[in-house]
Amino acid sequence: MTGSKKVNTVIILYKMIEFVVQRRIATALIVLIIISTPGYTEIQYEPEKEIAEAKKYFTMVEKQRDLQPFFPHRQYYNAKVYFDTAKYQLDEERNNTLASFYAVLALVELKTMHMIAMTRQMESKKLLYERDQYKSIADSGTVRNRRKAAITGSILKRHNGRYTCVIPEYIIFKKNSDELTTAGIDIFNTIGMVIYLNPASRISIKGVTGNSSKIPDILGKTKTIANFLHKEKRIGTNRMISSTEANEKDFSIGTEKNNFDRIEIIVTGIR
Amino acid sequence: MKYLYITYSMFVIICCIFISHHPLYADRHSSVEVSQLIQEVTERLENARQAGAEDYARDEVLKVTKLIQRSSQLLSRNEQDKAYYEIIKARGFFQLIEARRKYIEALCIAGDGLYIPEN
Repeated sequence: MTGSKKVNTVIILYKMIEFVVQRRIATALIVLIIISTPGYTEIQYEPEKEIAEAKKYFTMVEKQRDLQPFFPHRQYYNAKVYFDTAKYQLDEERNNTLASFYAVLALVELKTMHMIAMTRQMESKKLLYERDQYKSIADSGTVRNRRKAAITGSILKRHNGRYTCVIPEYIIFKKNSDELTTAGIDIFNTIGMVIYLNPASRISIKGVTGNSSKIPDILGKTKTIANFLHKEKRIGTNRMISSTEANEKDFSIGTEKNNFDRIEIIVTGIR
Repeated sequence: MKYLYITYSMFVIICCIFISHHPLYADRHSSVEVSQLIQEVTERLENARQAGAEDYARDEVLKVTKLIQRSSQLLSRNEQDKAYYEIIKARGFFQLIEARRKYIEALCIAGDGLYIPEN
């Protein structure tokens, strides 16, 4: 209720009470009513909305048949139990606080289950792809196939005629440091191998940040990558370009918008 | 006599309104327990933020922050049970934040990869 509405209600109530009792008593009653109302805004629970959202998410996830074998059972079970409890609390007990509590827990479990399932599916596809690729490479060990194998083993993806990849900075660098993580070393070892086996190729390493004050920091990181490729894979500096950019534009991952500090790699000249 | 009866009835109604804001049963969770939970969740959120959670799970971080605020607010009004429910909701979001981190990592390394946004 807004302030002006509250004042109007009090005036109407005062007039009604004044109609049947003395003015003094009416004033006393109004003062009592004002004292008895809480001085803060109550937290509004919206269990119906939250339950409807959880139900919609359930339907959406269960429709994805190819994802079902990867569902983690614990999260799926928890989501079902929380969802049923939320409905029971709303329909039978009429307890909005608890209904909202269980509906939110159900939604969180569902979203977690969906994320885990998608992660497992990707990892499984990658394993199958690698198995098939390496089998064909093992069958005929030509130089061309060795190059193919290096690309397969790297995280480079063919896009618009170039090989590219975008790697979040937190995966490849240690926290608040220019030092590469183990995952970072693995990633650049495989990318370096692709460039090493393709002598005509060139690599562009671009550090991108959403915050322009972080540019010197991200510049140091691109230099670390260039130094690593130079030292470990003997890739000449004439084949590498490193740059930085502040880009505030978000990009989409599924339905989410993101703009994390990242390293964008473009490799050209691969035959 | 009639006026006295009306006044008395109104007094009873007002008393009922006043009591309805204060539950007649004790809260099941103590304020110490809820305070400890708030502190634990705040620390976990800070650690997640330092690990870059705001970059890959911005919405979830915002929700946790909001729930911590609501829980502290409710605790200051001595509504321990409601504060407990809010902070447990906030704690639940950490598994989602971790799942999102692993998903993006898998997407970059094992999946289709992230494409460089077109300018």
